[in-house]
Amino acid sequence: MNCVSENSLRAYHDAELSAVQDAEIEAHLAGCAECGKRLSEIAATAARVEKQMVSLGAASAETRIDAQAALSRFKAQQGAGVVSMPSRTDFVADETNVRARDRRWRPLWIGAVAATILLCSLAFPFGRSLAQRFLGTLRVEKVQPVRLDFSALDGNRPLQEMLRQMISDKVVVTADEKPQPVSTAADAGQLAGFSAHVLGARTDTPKFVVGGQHAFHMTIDRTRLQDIFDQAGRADLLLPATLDGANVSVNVPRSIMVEYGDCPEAHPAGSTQPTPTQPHSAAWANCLALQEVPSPLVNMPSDLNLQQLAEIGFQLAGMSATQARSLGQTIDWKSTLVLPIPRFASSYSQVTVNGVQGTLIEGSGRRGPDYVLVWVKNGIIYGLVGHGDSSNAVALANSLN
Amino acid sequence: MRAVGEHGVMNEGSGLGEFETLFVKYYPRIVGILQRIVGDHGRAEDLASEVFLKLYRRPLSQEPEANVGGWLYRTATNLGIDALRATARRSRFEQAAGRDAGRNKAAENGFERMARFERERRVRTVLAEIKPAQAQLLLLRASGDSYKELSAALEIEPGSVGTLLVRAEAAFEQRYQELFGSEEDV
Repeated sequence: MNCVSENSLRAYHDAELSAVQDAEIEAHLAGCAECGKRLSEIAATAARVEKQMVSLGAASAETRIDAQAALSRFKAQQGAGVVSMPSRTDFVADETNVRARDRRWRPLWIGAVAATILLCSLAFPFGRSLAQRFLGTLRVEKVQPVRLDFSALDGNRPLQEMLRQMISDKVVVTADEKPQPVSTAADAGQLAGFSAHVLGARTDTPKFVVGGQHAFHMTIDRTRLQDIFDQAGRADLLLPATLDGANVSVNVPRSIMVEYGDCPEAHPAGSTQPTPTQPHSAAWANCLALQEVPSPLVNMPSDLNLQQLAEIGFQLAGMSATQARSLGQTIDWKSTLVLPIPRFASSYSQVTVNGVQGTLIEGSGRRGPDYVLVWVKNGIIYGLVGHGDSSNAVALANSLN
Repeated sequence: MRAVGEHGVMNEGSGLGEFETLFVKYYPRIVGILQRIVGDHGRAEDLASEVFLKLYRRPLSQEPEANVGGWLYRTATNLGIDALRATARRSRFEQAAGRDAGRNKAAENGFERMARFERERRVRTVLAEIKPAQAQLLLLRASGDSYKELSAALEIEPGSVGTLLVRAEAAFEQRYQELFGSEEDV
């Protein structure tokens, strides 16, 4: 017998040959040192590479992936129009479009709305007095970043319309103050009701704007909300009975915005909220904005299971049931402000700011990189928004005085 | 609807029902493969959705012999390797991979965790640099595919799989050593 081919030696090593082929090769190997040596080399290389490849993860992890939930998300993402496989004439090779849609900035209002209706106060701390039907919210003590994907909601217009209508019907706004520019930090503090802090590392004079108070309350209609989920292809998400008829109220106190550099109008006429994270032009390049807001106050029924609601919210935002459960269990819902990280944000990291834990989120907008640094101290939630290099963000935040 | 084999075949008359069957059948494996490539579960699920969106839009119903499973694995590994090569995003994947892996291996000490992250980073770097067809072959083989499955998924001759594996492994080792020295340096 001639020497064994490389292909056959490798297949022999991998037990991919028939018994007859195996026997033939073994007979040859018994008398051919060269093929034996080559087989040893092939086996050694295969073992080394396999060891490297195995480091990337085990196939057993696949069994924990919930394909049914993923299918529900996929259908919701594609909308109610998924009725059949398209014909050849319908086919459009639009990988570019898919990727472009993934990268663009998505309207986050839908996520905020969904979170508000579903969870309302899941992001805020729970009350202490369990004897009361309604509980005053305590102060936010820390921030927990969570990467979320609202694409399933974003691409579903019927769902957006249904949620918009439900908000219109159910939410009663009790306070919606306009922002007010003021001249000094003292004026800002007096109007907002807490002391304004500025960045000691900046020597230029900032502008001050006091953001208005916003408050609303609503009664949750569980049946209607469940119907919306069902029609949106998320019948797998079952809302708890305790949610029905729950009265929830939210009060966001006045805030202070401190702006450095050449910041475009962040609070244009007719707008109720500054939009510091969405630059309108390259003029934002040297704009730095510090926002300070006391912990919002949330009243809610004591028998709502926040973790359960949070898990539903996470699934609505694209997580599998397993992922949502795992994450929900890691968060202390009594004192944590959940910070949604959109998937298009480049990265985020935990940093130490003024002795407390903060979160630095870096993104890449159409006009270059930008960042936001969020931390909570003494009951005030701080957000520092800048554009360009984020390397000095923590130093700037540490200069707060 | 007709039966779907190991590497399912989308036949004429296919509809949403068959698409759903294929989705449920292949999704976990596709996500698993992509997670090994990009190292981040969330990103892997994003890419898997892209793969199935492509399947949904693909006129396979008029390709009676289409090998859907093979097409899915091929498309997934292509997308994964493309993502791996997008150096602008690579750091994010690795950070996320670190977080995911860290949650699952809490018993590791800091040094062990750092060493593992570095090992994974090196493997992904090499996979991004060798020929995509060789990277695909190594990834699917590491996922447990037999020669027959590799042949079907990557559309290569069954009688060439052994040789191609040997060449792919040699290319991997050579590039690894060029970039990082011997494995013991990890």
